[in-house]
Amino acid sequence: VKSILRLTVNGKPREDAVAENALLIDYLRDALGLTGTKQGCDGGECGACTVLVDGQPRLACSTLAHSVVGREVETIEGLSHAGNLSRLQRAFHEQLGSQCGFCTPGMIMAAEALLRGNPRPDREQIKAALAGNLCRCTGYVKIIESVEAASRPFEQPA
Amino acid sequence: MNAPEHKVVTLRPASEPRGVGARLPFVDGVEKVTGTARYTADLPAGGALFGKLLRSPYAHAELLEVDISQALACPACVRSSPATSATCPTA
Repeated sequence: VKSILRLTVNGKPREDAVAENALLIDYLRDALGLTGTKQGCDGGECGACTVLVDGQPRLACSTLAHSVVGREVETIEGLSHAGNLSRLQRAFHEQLGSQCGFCTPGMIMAAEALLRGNPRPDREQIKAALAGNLCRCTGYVKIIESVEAASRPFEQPA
Repeated sequence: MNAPEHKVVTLRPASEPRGVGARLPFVDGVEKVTGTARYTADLPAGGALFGKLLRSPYAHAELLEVDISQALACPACVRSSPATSATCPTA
């Protein structure tokens, strides 16, 4: 059964007919074509589907689309504007925080939520914020360094 | 992955380190950090056919005939399928 879902996605108000049992990830990927949000484990274990709901990280694979009615949803596609990378996107690119890249959107969204609340986190705080995001290629050192670089844009990397 | 056909490559100035020890950006790094990199599950499957594999319920039986008339009678059935041992090239 479909019903009208009103919410904001990446700053744009939307009104779509969405199945009442649809998951947020399927709404984003299949209905809106926002395939930057990845479906990794589909069980809330890997964090690849992390999006922001009212600025807080949420697992889109374990969230019903209709449960975020009226809320502000942000995906990886909402972070870059007119081809300009966000600070975190640039840092992940420059610090090689991405290898196969599948976990990267979720990593960046989780880190984005962290930096909005805590602009200069230390390593332990970064690790804690990314604890729910798994990477199967690089290990986590480059990823943590990327978040660190994004939070210290005016310092030269060591 | 998914590199555009035409891509402007900016050459690095001779003063910058290159080769071993140089910090070279990924050619597809921007796609990966912006979510535009396309993985298999991100590709549209438009026009895909759906099929069901039917196997013999008998081990080591000899296949004499496959009756596909009921499948062909199904209005959505595409004429080129069903594939059977009669329509598939034999190895």
